Amino acid sequence: MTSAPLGGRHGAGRGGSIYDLGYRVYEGPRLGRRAAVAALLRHTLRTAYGLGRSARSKIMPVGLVLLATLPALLAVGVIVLFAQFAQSDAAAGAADALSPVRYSTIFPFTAVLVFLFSASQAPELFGRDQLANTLPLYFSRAISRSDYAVARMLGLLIALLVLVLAPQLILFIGRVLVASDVMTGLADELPQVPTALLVGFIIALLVGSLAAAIAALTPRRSYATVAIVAVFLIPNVFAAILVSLDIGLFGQLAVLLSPADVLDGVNAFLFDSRADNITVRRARLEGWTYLVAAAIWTAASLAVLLRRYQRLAA
Amino acid sequence: MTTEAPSQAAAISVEHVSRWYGNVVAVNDVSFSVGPGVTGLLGPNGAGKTTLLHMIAGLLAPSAGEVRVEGRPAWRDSEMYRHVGLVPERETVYPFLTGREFAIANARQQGLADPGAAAERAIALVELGDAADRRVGTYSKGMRQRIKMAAALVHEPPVLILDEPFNGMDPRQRLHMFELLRRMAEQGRTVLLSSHILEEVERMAESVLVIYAGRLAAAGDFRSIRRLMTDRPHVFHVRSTDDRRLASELLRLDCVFGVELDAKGLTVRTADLGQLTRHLPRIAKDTGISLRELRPTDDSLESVFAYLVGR
Amino acid sequence: MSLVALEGLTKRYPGGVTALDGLTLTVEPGIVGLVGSNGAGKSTLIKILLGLLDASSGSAAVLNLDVATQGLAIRQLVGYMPEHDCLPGDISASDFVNHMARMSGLPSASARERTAEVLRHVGLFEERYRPMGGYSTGMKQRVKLAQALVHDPRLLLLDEPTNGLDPAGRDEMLDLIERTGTEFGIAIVMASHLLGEIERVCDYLVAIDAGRLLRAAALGTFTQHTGTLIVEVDERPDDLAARLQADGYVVRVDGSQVLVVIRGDATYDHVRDSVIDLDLALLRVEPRRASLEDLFRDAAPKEEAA
Repeated sequence: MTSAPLGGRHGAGRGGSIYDLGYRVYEGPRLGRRAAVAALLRHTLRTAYGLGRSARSKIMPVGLVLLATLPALLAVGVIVLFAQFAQSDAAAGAADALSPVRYSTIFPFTAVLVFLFSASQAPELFGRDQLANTLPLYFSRAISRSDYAVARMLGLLIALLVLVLAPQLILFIGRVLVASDVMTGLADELPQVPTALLVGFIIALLVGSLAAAIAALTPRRSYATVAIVAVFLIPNVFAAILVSLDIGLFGQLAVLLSPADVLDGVNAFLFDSRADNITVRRARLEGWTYLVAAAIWTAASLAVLLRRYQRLAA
Repeated sequence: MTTEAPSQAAAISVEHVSRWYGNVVAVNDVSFSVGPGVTGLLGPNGAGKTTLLHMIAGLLAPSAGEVRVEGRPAWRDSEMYRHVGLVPERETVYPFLTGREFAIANARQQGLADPGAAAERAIALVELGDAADRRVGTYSKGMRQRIKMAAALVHEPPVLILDEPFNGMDPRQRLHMFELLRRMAEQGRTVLLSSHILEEVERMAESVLVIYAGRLAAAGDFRSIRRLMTDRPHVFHVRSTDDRRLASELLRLDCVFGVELDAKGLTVRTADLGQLTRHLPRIAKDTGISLRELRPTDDSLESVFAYLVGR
Repeated sequence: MSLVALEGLTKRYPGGVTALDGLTLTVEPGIVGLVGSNGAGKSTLIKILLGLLDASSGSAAVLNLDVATQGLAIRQLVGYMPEHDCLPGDISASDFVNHMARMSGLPSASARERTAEVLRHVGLFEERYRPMGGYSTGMKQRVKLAQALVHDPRLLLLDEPTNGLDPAGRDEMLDLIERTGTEFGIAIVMASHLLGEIERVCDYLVAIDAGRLLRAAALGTFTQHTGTLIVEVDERPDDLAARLQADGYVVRVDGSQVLVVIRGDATYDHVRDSVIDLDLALLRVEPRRASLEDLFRDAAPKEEAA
């Protein structure tokens, strides 16, 4: 930052300068709430996948994503092999028809992985700040309490979307590439895409908001994880029993109290396919009831989440 | 209070005590004895104070050496607990009990004949009478400290050990506690207290023990300790009606080897405290200078501590 | 422009505890000490100023912005250092303070630069890249201060900043606070239980007792001369006292100290000469100042709030 060149040759540069290393006032831009929320969202996403942390924190999330993509990878692999060896489209088409892995079955295959991801990561995102008492540092900044909750929720939602849609994406790409030509492939596969996206979104939203609400209410990691796993694995048992007892509407509605079954129902309804889930088949409810149930579960969870952060003592 | 081999039944006697955890030596061959009165235990964080206090309270065994309280070994002697009251640093109160319940529980644990009365007395001592029926979970930090103190006092132990007892107490509560501890010391009790707030320890304690890196760095009255530090010159602040003249006169003294002059007055460094304090008024009178302020600036417990801990 | 202006500020918690009771005062920018006794008044006040808590009644303004309606604007300009532990254990100070800077609205590059600067100012060097779980209390307190300073606030709210620090750490933190208030030019409100700290660092004091204002004034007014001179000699203080008394001075002996009521400038020379005549050494001559403690000693204790 000196204007005169240093060194003796030019004669003028013999002097020295001292630069003030003291505290500097910040006169740069101060972006508002939006930027802060965006930063928190980014931070949440990174935390959800263990980025910027120790290797240990990456194992669960990344591992689960890899596991989730396995069925799709396998399915694509099988189709490719058939296409190679069969030398005919008909054979490849038959293989495809026999493959149990389709857009409509990806979710049931990977459901447990999605639940596990939420059970593993939601406590990180919603419990840790409470346990470490870091919330006052957030709330004393220029964001509101609901900004914080919303940013964290969006982060978890996007993280879950990645998990839920990655296998679908792989399946899509695989099938397009294996088709006789790309244009036909696209024409065949594209109609399914909006449905897959919609189902994926609903799954991520319901699982995410429910896990978030539980994690926010029970900051202790171990309790939260167990509670989240429980909410996706235990009501199914009761629902199955109640439905099989065949006691009429009450029994049928019991299915709606099990989030996992609701999601299976939504999946089946929107893909217009037959659910593999016995309880859902037995309940024989109208498809739209699952959508309504999903909406209620989500809305209730989000309300609980927001209220929790409004009322937390900072 | 001495540092040599303790006489019979000093209230607290620590002889060549060490404590290690694997390779980490928390307390390293420490010996001292403590008698009635208030003694301060000082040291940087991690120096081994809490370990030492827990050994004295009988909660931890020394890895080497002996700790005795009123002549009895501190470790594995259940009778010993009747002689000692400990106010630990950590939170040890159950939040769902009321203050009174907590005190009574401790009184019962001590096997007192009338736990209720003992608890009342202790609660009155710490002035928690109004809040004694509220649950401890609703107490402020200062109140929790006081109820811990009441619990340590129910059995009126002759030896009281306190680890950072004033943490969280507001100024009035602190003043009250100083007076309480001083009164107890005057009754002949032995109070050993560890604190980081040196200006408070200075007022309460007649003698101090300074622990640094697990070793005993100094023991005794801190002013005497200061005088023992002959390699550290004494530093004085002087303000007079003619500082510059006074400065040049003082520099004539052999015992003075540094004088600094600034807007607030003179800072004088001397190797010989006694000489300077004798000569200063005489020089001032002879030169017609009036002394407005004279005070040692490194005589406080803070300075002594800083010198010992080698900052 | 006032730093903090309160008007009848009251906070009652459910359960009947009144933490703040009709507090009215105005504070000018500077380094302000906040002392509370008999209740949770000071923490409650800080939380209300930050908008973390709602008042039951009355109003408060920070930097001329109303706490109830302009909370967001206030929080842009304020930095907060809480009393309790608040740092996550598994990320480094550098990453954490950077994140906090982004949360305060600083763009990415500025956040990085400010983080590096501020960590240097608080004295954290290589350790800033290690996870905070392994930090000592002193280091954690520094990080807490750093995150409060990183967005260059106009006002710093420090709650018990030296809590848990050993004497050396306390000294360094108080120096840092003093520098921040004087060199960095940032207004500070520092809550503390330790009057010594407040006397050392602050220029204004607000004392709250059981939720009510006990006193609010510049520190100088509390620690004025009492008109008494403290004299210490090496031995025989009673002889000196007797001599001065005989010469017409009002004298009292307190332990090793001889306290003389000052009667004009001549008093100093008289003491000096008496010391010489009695062949004593003069250890101390110091005008006695009132201390903040007297303020708390005098007021009567009240029922305590949690």
